[in-house]
Amino acid sequence: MLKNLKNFYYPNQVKEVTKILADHGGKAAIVAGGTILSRIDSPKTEVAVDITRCGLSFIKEERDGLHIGATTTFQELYKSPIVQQFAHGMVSKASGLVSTRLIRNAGTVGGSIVYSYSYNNMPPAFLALDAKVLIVDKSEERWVDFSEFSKKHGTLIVGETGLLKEILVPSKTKNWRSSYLKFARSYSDWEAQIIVATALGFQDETCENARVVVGAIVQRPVRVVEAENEILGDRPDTKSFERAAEIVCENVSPMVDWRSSKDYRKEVLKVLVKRSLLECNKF
Amino acid sequence: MKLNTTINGIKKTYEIQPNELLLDFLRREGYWGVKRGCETGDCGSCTVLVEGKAVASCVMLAAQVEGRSVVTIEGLGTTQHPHPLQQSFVEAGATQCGFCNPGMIIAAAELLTSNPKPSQKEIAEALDGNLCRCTGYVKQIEAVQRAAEKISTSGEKP
Repeated sequence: MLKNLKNFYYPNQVKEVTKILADHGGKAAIVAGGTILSRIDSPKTEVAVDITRCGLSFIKEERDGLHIGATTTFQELYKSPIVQQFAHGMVSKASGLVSTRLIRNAGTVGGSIVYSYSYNNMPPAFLALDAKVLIVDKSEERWVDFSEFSKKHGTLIVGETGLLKEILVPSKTKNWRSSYLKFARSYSDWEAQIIVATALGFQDETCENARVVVGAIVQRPVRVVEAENEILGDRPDTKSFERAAEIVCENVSPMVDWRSSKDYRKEVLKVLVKRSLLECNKF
Repeated sequence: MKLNTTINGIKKTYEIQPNELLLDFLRREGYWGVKRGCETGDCGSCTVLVEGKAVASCVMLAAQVEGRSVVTIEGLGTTQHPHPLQQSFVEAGATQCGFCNPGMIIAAAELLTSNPKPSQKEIAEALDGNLCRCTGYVKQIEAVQRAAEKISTSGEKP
């Protein structure tokens, strides 16, 4: 693995990182937790840039929302009281279900977004909460809506010379009721088969915002807007959640592999969507 | 390339390959208590502490511990002066083949530094990355509880 890797850099500032990435183009790979880079075969990688010394591990709640630094580990997110309170703990739950303690201690939220394997835990949660990510490329920064990650792989969005710096979960979602369910062979399985992330924003008894996101069962996490429309309005109830679950199954075509069949996945998906929405409605 | 790191309290400079795994580096330097199991980050037999956090050394590059501290099972205690966790694993009968023990003990050591009185559930969660093919995990959890009590009674640092 990484048989052409010649050099390791340990920058202390983001601007040093961006310079190294610009100088080396597509031959530089970013290292944070290392749990992915240590396992992939990347013959074009000649230099590695360790970004864990650049002040990108942080969790802050500000007026515009929850700011999370790219090198914050899953374990830090899972155990953070701030993250546990925000949007009824969606991001904390998603982080806590990543693999095992050993992986959560090392793996970072930024890595989970950029190396966007279909089964990654974090992207469905961020999509359900209308998150944005801050990317810096050379010296230019840009905010990217998380919906872009439904369309393209994370590495293509960040680019060869780009660095994902932080994630912002907007303050409007702070009081949204949320649910995050992961279906896998076991809690510690790296590879979820189905992820369902739902969030409902109420004004009194009226559901003004609904997010129904499906992940792992599809190549990239998707919002099923048709299902969300079913829930919006006065007092959504079990019937509307059941109908929403049916709509999800009508609109999602599951990826299939050796682990389970299409029919099985659709059946489980329907159950999980309903269960997830009922959980949201419990608060 | 050069790697400057502190292993079990000893600061040294080593010569490594940039793509070398932390597991391979540690074993090459004689830390055979760090076991090679799955090489995919699933079994936990390669667990070490990096800056006090339990991680799987088979999914980390050695170069990542530049300027950082690493603790292996060899650094926790010795045969003459075992760590309370090591002693408790023996007393509780938490060893059959023993292969999972170093990783489990290291993961438990991290737990006890932040949670001196963990419940069974908390122990199981903290050790969820350490697999054992011999036992049913009962004795390991008991051993950690025993060690927690020993440490709190003695006032020793975990």
